[in-house]
Amino acid sequence: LSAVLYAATLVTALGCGLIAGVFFAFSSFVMPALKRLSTEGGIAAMQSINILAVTPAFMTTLFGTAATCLGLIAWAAFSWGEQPTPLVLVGGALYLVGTIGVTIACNVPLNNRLATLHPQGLDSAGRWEEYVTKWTAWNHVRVAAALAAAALLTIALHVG
Amino acid sequence: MSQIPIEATSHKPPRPPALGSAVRALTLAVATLTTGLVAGVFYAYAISVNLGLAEQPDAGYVAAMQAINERIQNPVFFLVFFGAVLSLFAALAAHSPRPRSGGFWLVMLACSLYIGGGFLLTVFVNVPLNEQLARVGACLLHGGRGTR
Repeated sequence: LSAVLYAATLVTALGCGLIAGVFFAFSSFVMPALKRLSTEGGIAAMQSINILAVTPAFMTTLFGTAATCLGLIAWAAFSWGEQPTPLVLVGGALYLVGTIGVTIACNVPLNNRLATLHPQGLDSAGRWEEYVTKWTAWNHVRVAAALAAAALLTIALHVG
Repeated sequence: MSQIPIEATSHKPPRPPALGSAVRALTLAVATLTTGLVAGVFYAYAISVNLGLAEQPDAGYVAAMQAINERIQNPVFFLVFFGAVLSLFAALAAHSPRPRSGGFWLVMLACSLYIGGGFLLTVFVNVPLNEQLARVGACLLHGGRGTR
């Protein structure tokens, strides 16, 4: 790996690891904790978490890592045959599909529906439970994809 | 005289270098991934969980944070949080036969950063704060029903 590619792979591996950890927090204890609260308390807490998570720092980490993944995939496609290209390609694709793709296709639509839910509404308990179950299941996928991407890119740094 | 060390070492079969290198790589990879995960967990508080809960009324904040502090004590999180310490020590041990190498010093630096700034800070600052919060009477608050 050239110096630039090494740096890009390193930054991407760190980004994937950090994002894996963010979603791991939700899978491991944040969602189980919110599930234990009253329906109103849980809905209100998750609604404001979703609104306030859209910070420049987090968006840069989440989508900046996606951008460097795209760059790495482009490099791997044009340099096929060099040593760590398969690792870089699979790692970058895992993050883009399993983390960014799942976020856009599954978690964000669920969040949008939750945003319209009134915490004291009549059917709020059932809809909250459905939200937590589905959101957490897709979140497990995001953790697995980002962690696997971080692992593959770390191995690519080692063998490249 | 110069033959003595050669004879002394020639009795031992040379250790296969591939094994040491594989152990170094493996321990380092596990340490990298676990410390990365823990960094992300703390980052999650900084960029979303704390910001979101701070917007809640006091009762809601206390109930949610108490539930989080209780639920974080689960086997998977502990595996990662303590596993990071263990794998860092394992990586340090694996690199210790080459104490003058750059790799050894970087692993040493990583150990002190994670154990000092991540692990001990949590144990001596954040956990006591969580224990203080746990004593805030849940019955006085009406945000949750779970803290029993």
